[in-house]
Order: sequence, then structure tokens, then C-alpha cells
Amino acid sequence: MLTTRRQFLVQGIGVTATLSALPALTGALAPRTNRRERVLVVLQLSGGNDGLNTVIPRTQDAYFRLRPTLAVGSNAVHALDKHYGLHPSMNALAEVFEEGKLAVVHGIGHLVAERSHFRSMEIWHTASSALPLPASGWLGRLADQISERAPGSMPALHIGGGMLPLALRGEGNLAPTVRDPGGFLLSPNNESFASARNKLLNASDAKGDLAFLRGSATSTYHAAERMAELTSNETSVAYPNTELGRQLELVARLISGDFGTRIFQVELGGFDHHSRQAPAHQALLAQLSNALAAFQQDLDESGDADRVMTLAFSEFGRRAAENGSRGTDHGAGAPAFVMGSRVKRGLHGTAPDLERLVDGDVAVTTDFRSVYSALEKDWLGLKPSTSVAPLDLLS
Amino acid sequence: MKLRFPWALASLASLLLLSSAAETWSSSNSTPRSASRESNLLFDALPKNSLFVLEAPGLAALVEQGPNSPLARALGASPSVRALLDQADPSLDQLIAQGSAILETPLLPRLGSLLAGGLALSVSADESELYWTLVANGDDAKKTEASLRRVLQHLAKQFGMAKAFNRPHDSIEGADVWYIGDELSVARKGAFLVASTSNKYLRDALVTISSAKQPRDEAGDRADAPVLRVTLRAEEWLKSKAGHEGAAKLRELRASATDPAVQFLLGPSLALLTRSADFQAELMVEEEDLRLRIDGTGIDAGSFAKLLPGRAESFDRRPPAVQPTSSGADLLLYRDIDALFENRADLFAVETLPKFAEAISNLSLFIGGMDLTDKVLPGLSPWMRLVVDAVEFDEGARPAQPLPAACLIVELKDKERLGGSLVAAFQSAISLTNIERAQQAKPPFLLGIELVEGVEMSKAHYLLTSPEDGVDMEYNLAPACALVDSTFVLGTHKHLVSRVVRELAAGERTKSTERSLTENLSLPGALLIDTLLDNMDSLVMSKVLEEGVSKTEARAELEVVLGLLELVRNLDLQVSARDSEHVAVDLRLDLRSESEFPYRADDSSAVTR
Amino acid sequence: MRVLVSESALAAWQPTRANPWNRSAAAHLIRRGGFGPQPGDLERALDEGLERTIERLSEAPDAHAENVNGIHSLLGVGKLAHLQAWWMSLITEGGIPLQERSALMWHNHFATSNDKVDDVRMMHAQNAILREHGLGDFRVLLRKLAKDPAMLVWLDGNANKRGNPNENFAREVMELFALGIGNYDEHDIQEAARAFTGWGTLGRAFAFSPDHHDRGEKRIFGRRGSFNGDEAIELVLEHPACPEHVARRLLTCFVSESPEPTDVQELAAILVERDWNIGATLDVLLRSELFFRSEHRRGRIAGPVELVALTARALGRAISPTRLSLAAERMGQSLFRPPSVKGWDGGRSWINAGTWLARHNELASTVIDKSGKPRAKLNETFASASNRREPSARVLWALFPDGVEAPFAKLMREAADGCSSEQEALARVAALALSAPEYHLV
Repeated sequence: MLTTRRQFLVQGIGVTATLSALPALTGALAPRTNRRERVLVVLQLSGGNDGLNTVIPRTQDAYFRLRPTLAVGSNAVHALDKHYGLHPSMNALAEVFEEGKLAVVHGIGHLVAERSHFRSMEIWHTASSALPLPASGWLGRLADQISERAPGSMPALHIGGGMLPLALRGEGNLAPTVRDPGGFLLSPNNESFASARNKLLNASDAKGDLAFLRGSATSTYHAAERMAELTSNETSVAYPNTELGRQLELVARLISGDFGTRIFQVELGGFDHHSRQAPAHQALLAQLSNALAAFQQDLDESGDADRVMTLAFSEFGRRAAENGSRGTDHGAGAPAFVMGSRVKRGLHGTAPDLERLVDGDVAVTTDFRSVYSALEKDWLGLKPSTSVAPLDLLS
Repeated sequence: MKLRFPWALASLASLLLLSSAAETWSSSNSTPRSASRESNLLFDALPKNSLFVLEAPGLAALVEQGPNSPLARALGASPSVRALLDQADPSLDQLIAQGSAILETPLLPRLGSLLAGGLALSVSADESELYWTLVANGDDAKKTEASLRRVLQHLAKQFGMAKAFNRPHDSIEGADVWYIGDELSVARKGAFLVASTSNKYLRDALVTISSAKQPRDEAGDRADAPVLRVTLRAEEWLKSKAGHEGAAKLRELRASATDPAVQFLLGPSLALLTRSADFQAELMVEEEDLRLRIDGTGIDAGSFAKLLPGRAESFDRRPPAVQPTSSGADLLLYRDIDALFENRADLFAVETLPKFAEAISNLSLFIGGMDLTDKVLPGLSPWMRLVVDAVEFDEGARPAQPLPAACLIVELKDKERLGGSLVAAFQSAISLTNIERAQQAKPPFLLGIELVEGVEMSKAHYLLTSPEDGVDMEYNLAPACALVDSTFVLGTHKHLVSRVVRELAAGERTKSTERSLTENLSLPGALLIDTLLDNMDSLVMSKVLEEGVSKTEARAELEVVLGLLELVRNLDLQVSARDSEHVAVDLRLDLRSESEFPYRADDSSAVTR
Repeated sequence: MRVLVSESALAAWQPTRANPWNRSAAAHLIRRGGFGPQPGDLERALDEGLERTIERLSEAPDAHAENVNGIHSLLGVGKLAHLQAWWMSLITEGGIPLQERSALMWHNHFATSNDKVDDVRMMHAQNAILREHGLGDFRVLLRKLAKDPAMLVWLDGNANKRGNPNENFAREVMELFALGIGNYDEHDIQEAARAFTGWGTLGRAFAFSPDHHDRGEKRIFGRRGSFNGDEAIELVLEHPACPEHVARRLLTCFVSESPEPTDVQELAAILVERDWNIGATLDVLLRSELFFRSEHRRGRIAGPVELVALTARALGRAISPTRLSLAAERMGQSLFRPPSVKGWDGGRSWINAGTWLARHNELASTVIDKSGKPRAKLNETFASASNRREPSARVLWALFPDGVEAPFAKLMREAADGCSSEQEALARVAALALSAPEYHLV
């Protein structure tokens, strides 16, 4: 029986009370995670990315037939293999592929036909198409497991504005959201204020909610301090001057500075092109490619590339044929990217066959949960959300 | 009740007040003077390398009349102006009283005497220092002497040095000189007053004054003299090493001309004005009208000259005019979009180019079958007329936030092909919008055709689904377009388009033959007043939610704005590029006379149209 | 009429010398029954006594109707931010305290998010129901909300058709709105879903499509019949678990997050006795010994909306409702956008590093501007009085009317002493107080 979060918190007060009774322990003296702990970065492409124009089936005639105005000419694409290539604006990511650090998973999706953004994202976030909606998401559950082993740490972070995604909601905790790519910025934060503030936190004994609040406040201030230290580190890598670039730069700083977080989620939106798709899609893919490539390069240089895996996914692909307004409508299967120095490079899964579409869509040939399992079990060494067999993604 | 208000509007109000007495100089038929000045003694007395000069030939008489001039009375009749002046701290009356006390004589008449021969102020740069110099000429040496003495005594008391200024500290060229602190020197010779933060400039000014043959500033005597004249040598300012803050702003201003958005919104002439090497502005009062004339000279247009009127090699026919209404604004703009696109690589920064590509791609989507840059853009005349007017909405279709409609009128080179394509493009755009709205479960546009004086007008409007809920703001949009002979008409509301089409179709087609290169704008105050009144509730509520003030406070602030708008009968703006080196702007503000107040019959009634 | 035995927790609280009607009691009542005291409210409460203070919670401020209706001039613009700011303005100032408190409670209970509904007018219409009926008969409230167009869109009412029922609506009515888990089974849900078929929306209004309605026989809670939607709602209301579910919500909102089962039962009985009238039930609850117990005073973590409202009212200054609503959003509670149909869990789930940061920064910005300087007129906000002139005393008086521990007060005083001007001292102490965990307990 699923417990609601409220029930957990009410009944689980015992656990948290023990922790919060020692405010000094939470955050401040929390065991620093072993430097070699593995990290998972999830990049959500919101709106439904047009997979066929991202990983282009350049040798299939049907591609050009179905997309008279949107098809990208064969010469311009960056070849991944004989049959597929990346969109011309993704040269940076193509280089990452050349270096053997990128895997493409074809035809990924959920097996339930669902064309609503809302509902589709719910399925991806909770790794389940069951109703009623589970209260927690796959990343949140991973965060819960990490919390159990390393209490007091901040296992997951959401970077970006907007509400906390369902994926990061756990049974025991909610991942904090870092709105500003500069990190947690306290205001005011001058020395005399900060010292007076800290004295107040230790003014007297406390229990129950007050102790809990003090513990949380303390760990927040420590996290802010630590982030400020880490973001002041220089990096030689030139990140693109975009929101995504700045967000991934923050993630890289936190990873290389051993902040302790092991799960990050970032978003890039705007992929829902029902009309006039080409220019906007091109710009988004360029952003995506440049930011991811810079991120990987940064990790290479800081020596952390071996322990980071990045997943870029979208809630569904687009239909194979373009529509009348030079755009595309909601589809099904699409490619996902898994990036990291320990990834098994190449193209995985079953390539989409444009002659055998399912109701006008690219068939879903890879259950997204198999990618999840690979990342949860094989990569992070944690209990996976589902029992679907993991895809062979690691080298 | 505290009213917060932008300084700019408050200073406008005080300018209006100050300019009141210049009525005596008025001549309604005078043409604006050009930048030349014949014998202008005060100007000559200022440093030769002045970067900024402010002259006030017409100031004295104006100050003398003070609040009794007709225009000041008209302004005084406006509750808004009174409210603004009341909220000033200290108030105008208090300032005048203080001044009178110091001078031991009523302030305004004395000021009139001190400035009877004119006033001039300059900012000049020497190395990296800025210096101020002021010269004034009065009509009575005794009065000038007495006033200066009293002011200096007052200053001495302030500094706690009672007798410091009792006697002049120095004598230069026969003038009495006082040194105030380290910075300021003040001198008097006869009825001339000179003050400067530089001794050198003070001396030079006194030399010039002493050797002058004519003791008076003749320029100030002319009946059509401006109240204020400002000269700014922008390029010199930028070259000098002084005045960094001002220089930074000047640089920003100049750079703005290279922004495609600025080029498109302001137009090529106005955008180029920002790149003038020298500016001159004159403020004049004619009857109840205020007139501001700005001339920018020494413009280095470079490739931007290609965008100016008179440059287009081929097609630049002007669109026909429509009957003005009491609440309608009329703009005649020159936008050579073809040249803008064609020369974009030369004109604009490389980062902006993708936006052009995107715009071409988007527009091409609608215009099927014709190449945008090859056939469509060159086929549009760069002279475009924009009419903005209030809409008489249908019963039950009036939005809770009613906005005026806008209508574009432009001549086409090839009315058969291009005209047809544009109308079809309109229909495509509506259909595409409907696809997107369907995705969002919103009501679609209903497309239709109506015959107006035999002309086919394509129109679209949103289906009103639940009128009992109230009409949403988006219902302001009921676009329509039509082709009347070779004139293409496109507007945001079919009622306005229909009226324009009716006029164009039925009326005489007066093809404009004049080759004037002037863009102009005519904006009646009534349009702004109506719009504000129609949306008053929404604006009040919006202010309440945004600023946390009470409804009464919000309403009061908006009433002040309304009151100021009521002063304006009409605003006229003309912009002309004389050649690629000289741009002139002529702004005319037609104000209502005192007898027309109170303009609104009572608080709640809307302005009759 | 049931006589409340004096040992009952819900019997009226009798102030005694040991447990008097004092600042702490008055503050607790005004905080929980409304959104906290404005300057002078506590003094007046002590003067007027408990009864009158409770009455005041239901009194309309001047221009109340105008405040409530003012939003109509902006609904046509279609921006949710306007609606959010408008409600925030009613919560902090223009509304009836108890009415807004209960509307917020019901918003959390019948949680509906504009993220899916995507229509400001519809969200406003639902909010109006919460305001108008939130203190009335709960049965009327449920009936109206069950047919509220925003609710139907949110719970996929339109997709629920004969032959293809969508259980979302039926499930949430039972699980979250009226009965609670364990008081129905899956079969009840499926059958009730059939009863609700045909319910939907047309434009912004409720519409019933007879063609989509399943007229067949259904079995709900053991009863048989060809129930339609209205009748299914009545069956739910008649279920014995319903009054307790409602009572639990009232206790959770007004008293404590984990109410005793006996208290729940007792309050449920009172609810039924008073014809399901929420206002009358709250009348009993807000006077009760249970309510005033010391362990419940400052007994839970304040939610974002109530926290910004408490602060704005305590400061007694006009603060932009738009800003306040944005501050609450950054702290994790965006009005009209609950994260799911379960609403906001509240309690400790409000707090994580990101939301604590937001609380720290947003509250401090009410007394310190962006450049770090004290905001204007703090000396008026924290007015001086004969018994307190020292800056830290004035701030603590305003923000902690029920007093603070001695070490806390001492540290505040030291912080004030370290400042060079009175304005600075007031700002410093206020910012410290607002970010102190003690302040976040309501």
C-alpha cells in the first residue's frame, strides 16, 4: 500500500527526530562522500524533441519523402555511422561521439500510447504508467536510497527555475531547487550578520520541529557557503553563454568540488514545434550540443569524467511525416543520449524503420525503463525502480 | 496623500509654466529658425570649446509674468498640474518667497530685470576637467549690483563668514570679482553677471564683454526667439577625456542606431539622428503651442544612408491619406524593409543575422509561391501609413480591456500577383494560428469575406464562446485585410479596416506627387485619454496588485496622468532627413486653452467621440 | 443537543490565572484563525477578550465587496499572476480572516492546478466557491465543487464516458475529498466512475451529455441502483467516514498535524450536529481547550503563504501583493498551482535547502533592500513605546508577541548594539528574527 508522504512524515518523525536532535551533525559534519562516488545527470528536453531530425536516418528514402521541407540534406549531417548522422548544428556533440563518450539509444519510449505532455512526463518521471499516480519519482527514490546510506547529505538537486519535477520527489525528502546558476546565494550574508545568525541557531536546546528547522537552516548555510567556494573556482572550458550552459557549469563545479550531490536534473524547454520547426529546432539542438560538449570537456579536465553519466531524454518524439505548417505533431519513439567516458559508445537499440511505422510514428523498440535500470543498477549501484532488464550501456 | 510621479513629467509641467510669458514673443506664422546666430554677445562670451551650451533668450519676460500668463493660467486650471506642484517640497510659492526674502525685493520681477538681456550657460572641457560658465545681462546695473550683493551676503552667512564678501576680492577688466571657495568665481560689470568654475574662462568672458560694441544681445530681442536653445557637440564630447558618465550615455545612444529593432521602430532618419556630431534644440511657444525643434548635423551615416528616403531606386509611392477623426492617430513612416534585409550584413552585428534568417523563414511560410526577398519586399513601397483609432465594438463583443485598433496602408508595385499573395498569406496565418489554438483547446478564428464598397475584405474573429463570463482581452483582435486597387490594407480590427477600405474605394484616389522626405505622426490627446478611461479599472487594479497601494491611491495617480493628457489637444511630430548628414525633428504640442477647462464634464463621463 | 462534558477536549476553554487570556493566547488565535495580527490587534484583543476576538475573525473589513470583486477588471487579461496577487491581497489585508483561512484550507483539500486547467477565469470561479461556501454546509461545498468546471478539467471529467470510464474523478472524490483511504474499495471507485459518466464541460461551464452517461445499474458501498452523478455524491456524503474525514482536515489545519482519533470523532459528531456547517463547527473548535493547548501554540512549521501573510501583517506596511505571491512561490507554494491533487503536504516537507534559502532571502528583503540598506521608515514599523525603546525589544515585540527565550533576546540585543544607527539596528534585528527558525513556527 502506498503511503502518502504525510503519513511517512508523521510516522517517520522518529527517524528524523534522531537526526535533527543533533543539529551540528546534519550538514556541517556530514560524512563527506567518497570522492569516487558515481554521479548521474539527467537533462530533460521538454516538449517532445523531434528525434528524426536529431539523429537523422540519412540513407532512408522515406525520410525525405515524409518530410519534404523539414528533411535535412545528407551532406550536412555529422555521420555517426553509415546510416545515421547528427543534425548539422550538433558538431560539438559529434566530436564527443568521435571521442567515444556518447551513446545513442534508438526508439526509446514508453509502451503505453500517450500523446499528452503532462501524462507522458508523468510516466517518465515515475517510471510507471500505473494509475493512480505514484507519489514519488525514480530519481527521488534513488535519492532516498542514498540518504539512507549517507544521512545528512544532499543526494539530489534540481537546477533551474520552476517547480520541482515529479522525478525528484522522494518518499523521504524533496530535492532542493537551485534557481540561480550561481548557486545558493544568501542575502544578506555579510560576516557580522552571518555570525549573529549562527549564534542564534545555537541559542538554546531544541527538540521536535524547532530542532529540525535549525538543522535544515544549518545545512542550508553550509551548502550555500560550499557552493560559493566552488563556483569561484575558475574553469578553462568555455561554456556557451546560455542558461543551460551556466546550469551545467554549476553542476560541473559541484561535481569536481565534491559537493556531495550525486543526482542532478536540468531542463531545456521549447521543443514542441507544431509549426515552422526548422529554425527554432536548429537553435535548440545547437544549444544542447554546445552545452553538453562543454560539460563533458570540463569533466575530462577536472578528472571526474570517469564517474559521471549524463542522460538526455524527451517525453516523446514527433510523427514521422511533417504536418502542413512545416512542423511536426506529437509522436512516440525517439532517440535518447547517454554521455560519459564510461559509456559503451555507438548506437544502441533498434534503428527506426520508416517503412514500418506504427500509426504514423516511429516504433518504440526500447523500453525507457531499461535505460533507467542500467543507470540505477549498473551505474549507480542502487535498487532500480522497475524489474525491467537493464540495457547494456556501460563499457 | 502622497503621489509619486516621474520627474520628467514634473519638469515638463514646470517648463510649460516657465514658458508662459513667452507668449508675448509669439508669432504663429513663424518658421523655425535655423541654427545660425548673428550677433550674440552672450554666446561669444562663453568658452570657445564649449561642449554644451544652454541659452535662454526669451527667459526674462517669461519669468516676469510668472503665473499670470494665459498659458500658466491654462495649466493652473488643470487639477493635475496643481496636484504635481502641490506635492513639490518645497513648493514653488515657498521657493519664490525664499528668493524674494534674500533679494529683499519680489523675486520674479527682479529676475526679469537681471535676465532682460539674456542668459547663457556652458559646459566645457579642458583636459579631463569639466568647467561651467554662466553669463547674464540685465537692464539695470544698479539692480544687478544690489541683487548680487544681497546674494553674496546670504552666502556668507551660510558659510559663517559674515563679512567675507562685503568687498570684491579682485578687479578684472573693470569688473568686480569675488572668489567663492576654491571653485567658483563671480563677476559683475555694469548689468552683466559672469560666473565660472574656471578663472580663465571668467577672464575671457569679461574681455569679450568689455570689448563688445553692442551692449545688448540682439538675438534676444527678436520676436521669434526661442525660450531655450541647447547646443551639444556630441562628437567633441566623446573625443574629450572628460565627463565619463555623460560620454558613456552618448556612446550608448550612438550605438543604438545599429540595432535592427531601433532601425525598424524609429525609422532610419530618427535612428541616424543619434549619430549626429552636433545637436541643436530650440524650444518655442506659439500661442498655446509648444514647439521643439531638434537638428542633428555632421552625421556620418555610412551604409545606413541606403535606408533613407529618397534613396530607393525603384518603387516608393506614398499611400493615400484617410480622413482624420477626433480620436485617430495617423503615422506616415518610411521603412525600406527591402534595403534593410539586403544590406543587413553591412549594417548590423553578426549576432543579429540569424534573427533575419528566421524572420525570412517565418514570413516565407505564409507567402507561398513568391520569393520573399526577391519579389515581395521590393514590391512593397517603403512609405507606410499606420492609422490607430478607437473601435466601436459590436454589441456583446466589447472586451473588458478595450484597446484601439491599428491599420496599415501600403502601396504595392504589382497588385495582381503580390496583392493576391498577401491576401492569401493573411488567410494562411489565420489557419496556422487556429492549429496552435486547437492544441491549447482555445476557440479558433472564424475566417470570412465581406464586401465593402465592392471590395473583398478578408476578415477573422474569435468565436465568443461564453459571453456571460465577460469578453477577454484577446477579443480586441479581429483582423482583416483587403486590396483596394494597388493599395494593401491590413488591420487588427475589421471595423477599422472596413472604414479605411470604404474611404479608399469610394473616394478620389489622390496620388500624392510631392517628393517630401518627411515622416510624420499626428496623435490626438483624445486617443490616449479614451484608452486610459476605457481601461481605468484594469489599470487601477493592476497598480494595486503590483505596488501594494490602495485603490484610492492608485486611482489618484492615474487621474493625475489623465489630467496631464487632457492638456494635450494634439501632438505632431515630423522627422526629415535633409540629406544623409542632417536630420531635423519638429515636435509640436497643441495644448488646450484655459477656456476649455474643465475638459471632462464630470469625473465618470467618457470623452465624447 | 449533545452536552460537551467538561473533560472533553472540545469543551470551551476557560482562561484561568495559571492559563490566562494573554498575548500568547490571543496571538495563537489570530494566527491560526486568520493570518496573524496587525499592529495594535493584540492590544485590542486583550482589551476586548476572547469572544470579541473570535467574532472579529469573521468581520469584513471596509470595502470588502470591492476588494473581492476588484479582480473582475483583470480576468479578461488572462494572467494567473493577477489572480495570485489578488488572492494574496485578500489574505494579507482585504479579506475576512477566517473566510480566507478556510478558503486556503479548501484550496489545499480540493487541490486543483492551473498548470492543467490553463484558464484564469475558471480558477477564479472555483476560488469563489471556496470563499462563498467554505464556511457553510460542507455538503453544499462538495456538491458545487464536484461540478466545478475547473475541477472536471483537472480530474479528466471530460474523458469519462460510458464504455470508457476514467476513474480519476471518482477516486479523488473518495480518497482525498470525502472519505479517505481504506473506506472504499476499487469496485466502489469503478462503479462511481460509471455514475459520473456524461459529466463534463462545454467551454467554461458544466455540461451534461446524456449520450455519454452510463444508465446501467451500479453497486456503490453495497447499495444498488442506476445512480447518476448527483446521487453518487449523495452516497459518498452519507458514508459514515465522511464527517471524520472533514473533521480531520479541520483539525489538521487549525490545531495540529497529527490529531488524536478521539478528537477527530468528537469533532465529526459536532459537525453532523451542526448540520455540517463548517463555520459553526469552527466556532466550537476555536473556543476549545484543545485549540488553546500550549503544545499547539507555535506547534507547526508555517507554510509559505501563511508565513508571508503573517509577516506582511506584522509589519503593518503596504507590500506589493505581486511580490508577496512570488515570494511564497519561491518558498514552494504557488497559489492555484499545487503540485498534485494531494495538495501541499505541509509540515517538514516545506523545508529543504532551496526553500530555506528562499525563506531567508525573501523575508529579509521586507526589511532590507537589494543593496543591503535598511528599508525606509522601519522606525515607524517597529514603533517605540514607553516600555520599549531599545531596537531589539521593539522588533521582538512586533514579530514575537508571545515572547522569546532569554538567550535569544540577549543575542538580539547584542546584534543591535553592534550597529551604528537605529535604522540599521532595526533592520539587522528584524532580518535575524525573520530568518530564525523560531519565527517559522506558527
